[in-house]
Amino acid sequence: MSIASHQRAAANARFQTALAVTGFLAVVLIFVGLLLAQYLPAPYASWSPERLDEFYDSHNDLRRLGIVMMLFGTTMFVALVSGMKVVLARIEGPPRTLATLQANIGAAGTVLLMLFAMITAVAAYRPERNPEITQALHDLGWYMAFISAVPFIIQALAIAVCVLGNKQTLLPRWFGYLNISVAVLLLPGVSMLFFHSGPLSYHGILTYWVPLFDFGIWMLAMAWAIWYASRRPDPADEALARAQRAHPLSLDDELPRPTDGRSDDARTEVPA
Amino acid sequence: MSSPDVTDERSGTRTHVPGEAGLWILICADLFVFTILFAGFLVDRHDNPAMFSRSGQELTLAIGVANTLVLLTSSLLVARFVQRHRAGDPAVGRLALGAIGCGLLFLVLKVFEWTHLASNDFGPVTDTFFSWYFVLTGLHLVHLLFGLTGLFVARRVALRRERKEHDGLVVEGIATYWHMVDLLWLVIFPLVYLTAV
Amino acid sequence: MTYSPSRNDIAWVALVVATLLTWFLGTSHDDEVGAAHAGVVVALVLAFAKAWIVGNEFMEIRHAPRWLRSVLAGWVLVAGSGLIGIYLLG
Repeated sequence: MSIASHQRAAANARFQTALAVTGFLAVVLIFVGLLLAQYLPAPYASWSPERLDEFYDSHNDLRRLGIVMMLFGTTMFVALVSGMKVVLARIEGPPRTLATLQANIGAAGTVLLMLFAMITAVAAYRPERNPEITQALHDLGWYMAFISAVPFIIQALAIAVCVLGNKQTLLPRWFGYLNISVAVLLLPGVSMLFFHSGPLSYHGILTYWVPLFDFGIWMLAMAWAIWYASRRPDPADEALARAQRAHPLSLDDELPRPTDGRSDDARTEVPA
Repeated sequence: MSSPDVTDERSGTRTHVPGEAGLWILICADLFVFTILFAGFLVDRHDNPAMFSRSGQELTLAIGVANTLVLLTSSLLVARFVQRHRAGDPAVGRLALGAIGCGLLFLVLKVFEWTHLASNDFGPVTDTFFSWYFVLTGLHLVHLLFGLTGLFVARRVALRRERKEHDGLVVEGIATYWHMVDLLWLVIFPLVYLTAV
Repeated sequence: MTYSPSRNDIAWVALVVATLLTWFLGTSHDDEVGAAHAGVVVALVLAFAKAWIVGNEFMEIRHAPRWLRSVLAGWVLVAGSGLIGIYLLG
């Protein structure tokens, strides 16, 4: 590998690591934000408008601070989408079908997460207004984050198919199975539309607690995968390096030795 | 990625992870979440035992028993299917078909039960018991449908004339998933059909 | 590594007997609440015993490495006793 391409690879690995770290920070910001906003545990779907209005009237500045943290955290989800796109593209090679699917649907999902923070911000902005309007805004914000399971299911399945369906060594196969698991656990979220109480209401175990922690674990796993893959050479380079270790002379003999000690051949100087 | 046989240090016997090691992430996550749901069901039952008792009696225990026996039989057929395939027996198609038939029978019984309940105006929004009933059986049925699709794939893999390197892992992995579907039902069954008392 | 098929058949017979026993428990309970509660506890114990048999025999976990055998045994014990505990409290 030439020095220039070495430098490029090192810089890319650093940027990838930065995306992974950003994704990790996003999880922290979202969870701390949810706690500060008192959205964890969630307000009940069965609350009357007056009860919810009371909720928004208390600790409102702390809630607004939490929502600001969520604004940053949810937007930073895009770091994970971008990082995973690069990893999947390296696995697939051109034409990078699944990487593209993952990136597009992930970007759409990011927007929904951002809207969750933005619309709850509006709900928290004027708590003195008519309680029914506050309730409508709160519901709308909540739906952005928790009925939006579908794009994330597609994203997780795209990752799973790419990791499990390709013969690849960049990511371990359990990461693919984990993504199937994530998709399955997000699935019941869409049923919250029908319920105001019980396990499927929007504060319930299957539509709030399970998806919330599932999503958090998923974000951490993606951050880890981006970091892990950034430290590994492309499979093609690795195979060549292995071939060269097995037959150290066979390639060198046929190549003219550069006099300045630099080789422009990308394949012959992969460190053993 | 694959799961080669490993010799256990203490007992000295050869051990083997069924299917792929990575698959167990999915199975353990499923088991974990279902266990939390089981606990949630019982916790909610405490808040309103009378409602759970009243609504639970609308279920027909015999259908639950029939579904349990059907799934147990399918698991037995799948276990045999894996062993015969491992032994290199090419005539395993009928075992897989039998297991698929049992899975379809479970599906028919479940749909019959659901439509029977629906015709008596019992649905997921009726009360907390029925919410839980439809959540647990519905989520389980989704798993069963994935498993049935898997069994079709496993049968096709097993019937291929030429064996490929990972065929054994694929068949084992799908079988393991199917047994998990069975195993989850074994716990769902007494929870929704019997705790009504 | 080879299984004797009869072992699976025995497991299946045990599972079916346990299921029929559960059926009997579910239909025969009298109006006395204590007896009914005991019946449910027995049914739950039977359910987790069945799950253990399915895991060990059909899933072949009894041939698996120690960690996986521990996962199954741990789940059966913790989930089983936990659920029975939640059922009985209250």
